[in-house]
Amino acid sequence: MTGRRLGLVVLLLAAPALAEIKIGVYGPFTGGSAGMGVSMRNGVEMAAEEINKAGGILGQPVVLVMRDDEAKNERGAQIMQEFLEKEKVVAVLGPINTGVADNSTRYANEKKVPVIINASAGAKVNEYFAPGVENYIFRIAASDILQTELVVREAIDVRKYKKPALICDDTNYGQGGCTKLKAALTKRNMTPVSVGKFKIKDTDMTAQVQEAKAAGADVLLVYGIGPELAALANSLDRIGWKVDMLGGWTISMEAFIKNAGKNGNGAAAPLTFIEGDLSNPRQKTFVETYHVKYNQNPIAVAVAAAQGYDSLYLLKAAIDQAKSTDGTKIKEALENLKSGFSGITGSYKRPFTPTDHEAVTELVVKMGVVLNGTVVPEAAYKK
Amino acid sequence: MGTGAPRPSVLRRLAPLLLLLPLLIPRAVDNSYYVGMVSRILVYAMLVASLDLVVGYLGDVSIGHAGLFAIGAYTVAVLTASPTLNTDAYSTIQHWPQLPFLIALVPAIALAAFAGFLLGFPALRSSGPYLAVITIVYGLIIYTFINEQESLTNGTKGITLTPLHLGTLKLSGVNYLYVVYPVLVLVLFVVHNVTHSFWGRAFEAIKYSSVAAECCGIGRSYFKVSAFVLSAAVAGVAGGFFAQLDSYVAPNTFAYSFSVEFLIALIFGGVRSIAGNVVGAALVVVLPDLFAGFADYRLMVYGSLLLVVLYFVPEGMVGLVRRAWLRLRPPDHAAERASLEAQAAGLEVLSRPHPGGDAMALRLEGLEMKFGGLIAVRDLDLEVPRGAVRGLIGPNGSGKSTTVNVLTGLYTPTAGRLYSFGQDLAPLKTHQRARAGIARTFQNLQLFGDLTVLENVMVGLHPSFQASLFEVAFRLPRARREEAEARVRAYALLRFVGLQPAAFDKARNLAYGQARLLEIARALALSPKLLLLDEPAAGLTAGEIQSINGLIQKIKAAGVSILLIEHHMDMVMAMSDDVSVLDFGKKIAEGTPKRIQEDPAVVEAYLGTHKTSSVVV
Amino acid sequence: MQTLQLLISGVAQGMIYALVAFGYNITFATSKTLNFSLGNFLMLGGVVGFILYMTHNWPFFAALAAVVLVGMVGGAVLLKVAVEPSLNQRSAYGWILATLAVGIVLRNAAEVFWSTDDFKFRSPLGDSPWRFFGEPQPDGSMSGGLGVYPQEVLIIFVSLAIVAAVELFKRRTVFGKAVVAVSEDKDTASLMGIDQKFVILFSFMLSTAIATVGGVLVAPITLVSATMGTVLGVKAYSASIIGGLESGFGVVVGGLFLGVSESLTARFVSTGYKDVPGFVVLVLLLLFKPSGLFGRAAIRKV
Repeated sequence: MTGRRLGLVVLLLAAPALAEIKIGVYGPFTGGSAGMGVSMRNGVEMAAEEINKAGGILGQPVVLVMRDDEAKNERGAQIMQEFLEKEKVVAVLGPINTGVADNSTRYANEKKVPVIINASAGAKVNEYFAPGVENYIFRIAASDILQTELVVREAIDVRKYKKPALICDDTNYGQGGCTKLKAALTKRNMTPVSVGKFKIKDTDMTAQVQEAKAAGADVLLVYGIGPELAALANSLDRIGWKVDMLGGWTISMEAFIKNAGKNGNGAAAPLTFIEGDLSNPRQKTFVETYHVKYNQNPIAVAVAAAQGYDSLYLLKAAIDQAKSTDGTKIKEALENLKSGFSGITGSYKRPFTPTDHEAVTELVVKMGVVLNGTVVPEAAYKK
Repeated sequence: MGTGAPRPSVLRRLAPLLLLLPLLIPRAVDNSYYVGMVSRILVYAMLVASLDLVVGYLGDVSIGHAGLFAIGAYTVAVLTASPTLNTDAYSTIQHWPQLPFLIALVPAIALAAFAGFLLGFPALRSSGPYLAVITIVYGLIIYTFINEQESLTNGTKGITLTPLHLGTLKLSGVNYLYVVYPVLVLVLFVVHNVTHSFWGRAFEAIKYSSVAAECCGIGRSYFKVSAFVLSAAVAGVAGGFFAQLDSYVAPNTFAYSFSVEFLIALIFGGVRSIAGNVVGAALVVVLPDLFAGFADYRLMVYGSLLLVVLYFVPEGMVGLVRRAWLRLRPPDHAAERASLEAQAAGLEVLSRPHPGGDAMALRLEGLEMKFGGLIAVRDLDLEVPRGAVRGLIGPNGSGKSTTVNVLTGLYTPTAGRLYSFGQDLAPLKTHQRARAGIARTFQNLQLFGDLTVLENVMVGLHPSFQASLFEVAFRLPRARREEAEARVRAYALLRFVGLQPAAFDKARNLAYGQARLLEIARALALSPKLLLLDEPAAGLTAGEIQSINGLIQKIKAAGVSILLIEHHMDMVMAMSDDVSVLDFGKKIAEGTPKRIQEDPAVVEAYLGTHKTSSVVV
Repeated sequence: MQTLQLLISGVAQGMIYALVAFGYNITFATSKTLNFSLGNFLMLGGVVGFILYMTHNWPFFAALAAVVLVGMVGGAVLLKVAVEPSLNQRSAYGWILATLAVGIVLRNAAEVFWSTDDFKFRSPLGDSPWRFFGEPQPDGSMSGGLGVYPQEVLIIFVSLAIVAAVELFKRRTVFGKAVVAVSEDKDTASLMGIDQKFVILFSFMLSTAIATVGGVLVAPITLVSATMGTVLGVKAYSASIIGGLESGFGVVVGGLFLGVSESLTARFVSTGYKDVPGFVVLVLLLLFKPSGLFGRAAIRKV
């Protein structure tokens, strides 16, 4: 890790000022949610190296300016201003945390610099559309609105459960997801039988699962991140309750799969990328390269890595089409990508339009299910 | 500064103009990133200054200021936010008062101050690590409340604020500096004035020795709670302006780690210093930027830097600058000394007290003090006639110091009555007894170490200050006048005890004998009617004892009644009009020095059954 | 049955707090300082234990011994690098900043040199809960009833054993009495020929060693990560204060109180507010007993 990171710093310092394309990448690289941040960053970094090997973008090398936001909102704002004003980046990729995104993307909008959100599912994207306001914020990740709809659809429409209980973490991400789960249930004239909460780093969820069980729940809809979701699955085992658990993409994090062990079996989530289900050679190359390059098998947070990887290629496609690094021209190109975009998370005929900045639709999302230490597509699980 | 030296005085008069310089930053620096950093530093500096009031001046470690800060920020956010910017379908806020920013600041400050008031109470009882934990959980409770009260705060989703503007003039972004900077100057001006007045001295006196502070007439509870209220109010101001820094607030900003970060900033910058506060705030904002090159190692470098700095400059960055400055320009108090000398020369320091009422300066009737099963003082009657010196002697553990502690109200006696000039002392608290004219010195020196000798005496003058906190905060004429008068009077008192050469030294650097003199000067600052001297000669050389003797005579001559507790028999016998002897908490003898010296019970108490002619006596 | 399960959860959680809290007590007794990086020493123990036991497949007790060693060395380094300078300089706040700084360095070092992810630490006693009063299911497994993790039982016993051992040591051995003497009155103790510096060194090594062992003990429950100690450090600090910093027994009471109140509040009041009742009680308690439940109230002496 050392050599590469320092090498990049040297590269950053040594690169001549003009003949390069600077792209800001931010996320939590230290602290509690660093696992997701680092995976995302690795994905972006891999893409950058490939692109540079192949001659860069518009013939210029890509230089990544990477900043650790420590998952702190105010750091996010400061970093975004640094990207925009000091580093003068062409575009920004990231972040992980919803609050960080919501506290920083506004500045990019004002400066007309495109941001492609590649992990945060709860961040405001289409919400920025308003009369007379230009929106420079894009996302290549399944938004919470989409994910929660798919989760509820799976639980209620497909699996025919009647009494869902919600358990979510108390962060911006978890509570945002919780509200959206409720909304998706309301559409079906249902309300959750109970709503529970847990905190980051909680390790015992006995009280939460007891509450759900006492309320007569027949399925758990959960929103949180890997380690705490694992604690949740383990607490189900502790009270000896076998119940289906469905939630956001974070169920596919290694931290969940490994730590929940057999208790995680059957947990399902809508995913843009499944490491154990590689259909095209690009995905295979990506995964194999990642394993070797970062000495990590399986990838800690494969979804974040894949979306990070795709976000840079998506940006490249737009810059190539715009033949310019001007923010407005990139934005327009993104909204109207003529050749579509084919990445490792899926193929997008038209990722964005001038009125919709969400690339991921249900067409590219598949239900993944945890099975004996890995994630498999739902069809494979049923077998 | 000197009236005779024109150059510094011109510079001084121009110095305030320097304060306008930062306002040029947005013009000079054509980069909104750096200007934004400055605004951020200014907001954080207010928070650090607020923390300094409690940590630096009062000596109580707070790891919960993020909570107070959050109250300020959230009050402004809730009261000013408009639904148009928070319109996603999932917003849970029920009420949109949409008040103007400046109006919302008022309840923001008031609520934060109230929260500080509540925090002040546990601080009266607990201290050190116990109080630190209270501040931590206090912060966490506020955090949880904000996180959970979704109908009020929008929960974890946070609140987006409308950026400030004045008509069409944007006050956000670069222009926010123009808003924040004057506020910071005002806040720091107030904090500086308060901390450099009798208020600040009261805080520090409580920090070093709350007992001595109370014996100087300082109401410990009042000032301690006030310090928390003041600190919280400043944190509230800072929070209010923080809300508009990014025009977004969310609960996770105000977590425990935020409090820790600012505690680090304060100590790193240097406590009890406005410059230190600003430096500390700058650290929080600038270091992540400076250290970006270290990428993932950043925090390791940061932590190590803290350790190194601490090792070489324990008093923080400002200590480094101060040291360099002092080496460059050693402090020169000559001018001030000359001016004080001139004014103090004609001043009569001990005006003869004219207490009315009873002729007895002190009368104890049947005093009893029990600690659990241990009876330290039993059935003690004692009188100090007006203008007299009464000696109180007895072997170690005979109850002498306990008696003094009962007299000053530190202990509540289990039985008996106390009167001073006919006034019943029982209902009076320690600081009220000091104000009623009972002053004391301490056997174990209780000086305020980091204050100068002069300031130590000024703490004793505390009851003479009349100015309100408002007058002090804005340096209004009465506050300035009282402060100047107190300086002169304190200097005169130092001359009285012969300690004026050390007036500008830190009290902690005094030699033992000087420290004893300072104790007496500080006690005399209360203009006492009754002075309790608790072993004033302990540990002194014969020569020093002589000068204390002279001093006692001067004090007596001024009409002050004295209760003298001492082990040095020659001193007691020479100074006292009458002597009382305690043994095992009981009075065993009383009378003129001559009679006491011959009393067999006394000799036995001191020497067992052995009888020698060369008694200490 | 439900409540009993909650109590078991709470007690297990509480004993984790108590064990770490005990680490605070030990250094406070001798040096009147608190090691604010104790949570990160716990993490250090968990991480080192993980690397040896899980990655390199050392036998459990060999890994545990290595962890104890790391803890002791770490405590000595902490004292020399961070605490002693500020004690020597009689700086009132230096040690707070210094121990916080050491914590920051430790956490970041774990992130950089080890990992930013969360890992499973296999319990040497197995990771399936022991089940009591369960109902047999058709597939042969058990459902419902009470579930207790073997590791939780281990935590409870080891924590109690460590507290008891240290308290016995303090009361029954000459060196232990020296430790008590230093905590009562430093100056008198050194007049009596007790090597104060050594006692303080010993207390730091003991305190961090307990924390690192705690890391290995709690890892199967909490997962191993660079941030595993942050929240625990704060909760344990609260627990040690509730009991009173001078009292070994108080630590256990404080820990149990916090753990059980969290688990019961989460179930019967609100999961969002689960920490609050414990914290409110803490504040109220200190209003009436400023030095904790079993702390001795100081008589104001002048």
